[in-house]
Amino acid sequence: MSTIVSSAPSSSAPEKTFLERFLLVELLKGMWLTLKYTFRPKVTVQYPLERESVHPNYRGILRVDESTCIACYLCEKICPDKCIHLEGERGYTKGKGGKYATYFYIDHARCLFCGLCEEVCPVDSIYHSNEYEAAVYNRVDAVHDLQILDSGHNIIHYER
Amino acid sequence: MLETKEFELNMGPQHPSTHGVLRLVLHLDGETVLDVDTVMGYLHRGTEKLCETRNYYQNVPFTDRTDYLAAPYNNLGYVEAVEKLGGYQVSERALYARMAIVELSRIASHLFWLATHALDIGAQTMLFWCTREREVILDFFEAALGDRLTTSAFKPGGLRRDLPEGWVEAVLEFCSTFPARVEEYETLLNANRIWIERTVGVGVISGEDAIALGLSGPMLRGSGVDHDLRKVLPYGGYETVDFDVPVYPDCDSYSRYLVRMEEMRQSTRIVQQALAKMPEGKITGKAPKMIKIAEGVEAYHVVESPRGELGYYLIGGGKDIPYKCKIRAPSFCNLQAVGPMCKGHLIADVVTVIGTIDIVLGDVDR
Ligand code: SF4
Ligand code: SF4
Repeated sequence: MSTIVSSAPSSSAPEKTFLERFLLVELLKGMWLTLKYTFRPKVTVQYPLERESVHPNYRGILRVDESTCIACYLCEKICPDKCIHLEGERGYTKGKGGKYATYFYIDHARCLFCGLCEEVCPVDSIYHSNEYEAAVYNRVDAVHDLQILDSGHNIIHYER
Repeated sequence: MLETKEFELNMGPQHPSTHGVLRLVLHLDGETVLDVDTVMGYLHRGTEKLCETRNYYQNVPFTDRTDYLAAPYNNLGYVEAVEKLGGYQVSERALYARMAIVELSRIASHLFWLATHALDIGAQTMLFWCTREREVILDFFEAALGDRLTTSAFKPGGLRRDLPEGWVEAVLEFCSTFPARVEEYETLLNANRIWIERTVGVGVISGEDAIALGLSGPMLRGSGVDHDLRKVLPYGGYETVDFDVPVYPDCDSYSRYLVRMEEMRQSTRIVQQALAKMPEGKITGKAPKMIKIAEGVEAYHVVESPRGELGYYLIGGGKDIPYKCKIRAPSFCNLQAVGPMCKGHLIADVVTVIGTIDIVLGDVDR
């Protein structure tokens, strides 16, 4: 099906005249182009000092709304990495009846940030926040319990 | 007479220009390479085996992690294989949205290839310019798919969520300015004498050899073989858009460079056409919530990823998990060419050869 156009090595690099070679025309052209860029506005962001905001659709650190979770285990089941662990209990707490989560752990060091748990949750209790700064000194600190998941983890913002 | 003997030099696994964890054992005579042994597997994560223990939806995020520079293309290959397996229909809107997204990912992947390849050879400006444009594309991914690199973009039947407002216009605007950027790169590189000295005649592999080794993608088209799966075995609506397949017959690194530069322009054209053709409607598709495929039903689906022929071979297992998932990774097959391409060249050219193959080690080892 495929045709071989030619298999003889030749060169399609542009031919240059002696004068072009001697005067380094192509080099000067490139230099001129890069020189023009010196006067254009910069596109870089000085990260710790300036922070980029992400799109609301971005899948950042996971959060769980403790008051709405009905401990249905769907997120635990769908998670491809098995990094969600939770346990539920039936009872009346916090002014509502039915099932609620007694403990809830997400290991962010193993999480794929795939968004499947967010998708299956019937009450939109688990969701991806827009936080992306998840670096920790200890692996244990990457495991967030229900309290951290509900209120958000501590991010130290760099001040100028 | 001084006695000379063959010298073995270890390159990698932590070498900056092996683009990941690849180890090469070079057999040298002076500075000339006699033979190359490729040692790989440092990044093996057992993706194929993992896929046999998770259901069809859970496997999508794993496919991101194989070729992470063009994750949407891996998602497409896997998801279309599942659709083939189950016979699911894709809505027209999802079809064209997918086409636009994967072609954007081809541009992003080629940009990063150019950035690193040129950096290896010594042209530092390219790194900054290419990542600048790539950043724009990654922002599009972030808005539409939810992540920048490991997108988990698609699911069997369509996309996971609809495109955000204003996304199409932003992409079209990028497409209108992008060809001018490619021209800028070419001003810097095409006639640059260092670039020419380092790439022309380096890493030569003839069309016949390329076919015999099972190479694909730009590696094949840079050797004068007119073969593009988007034309030969159209999938995902590619038969409805108009684009050219660049083929250069010189078989060297320079001609593969020209192929990829032209492909970026053609991809821009495809994105524009796909977004123009995209109708309104439902994007999430009709596949069931729990996909079950009967035992022994099998499907093989190939797509033309930025690196070449990417294939997913799936066998149904009777339950909601596949019995077998085999990935035909383009980087893995293209990597075979390192030996023949390096023979007789200098050590410095090995860096060019690795760059021109455009390997992603996540894809090689899976
Ligand atoms: S985002 Fe994915 S990997 Fe992370 S907890 Fe949710 S389902 Fe698991
Ligand atoms: S899926 Fe939602 S409601 Fe169910 S356990 Fe998980 S967070 Fe709670």
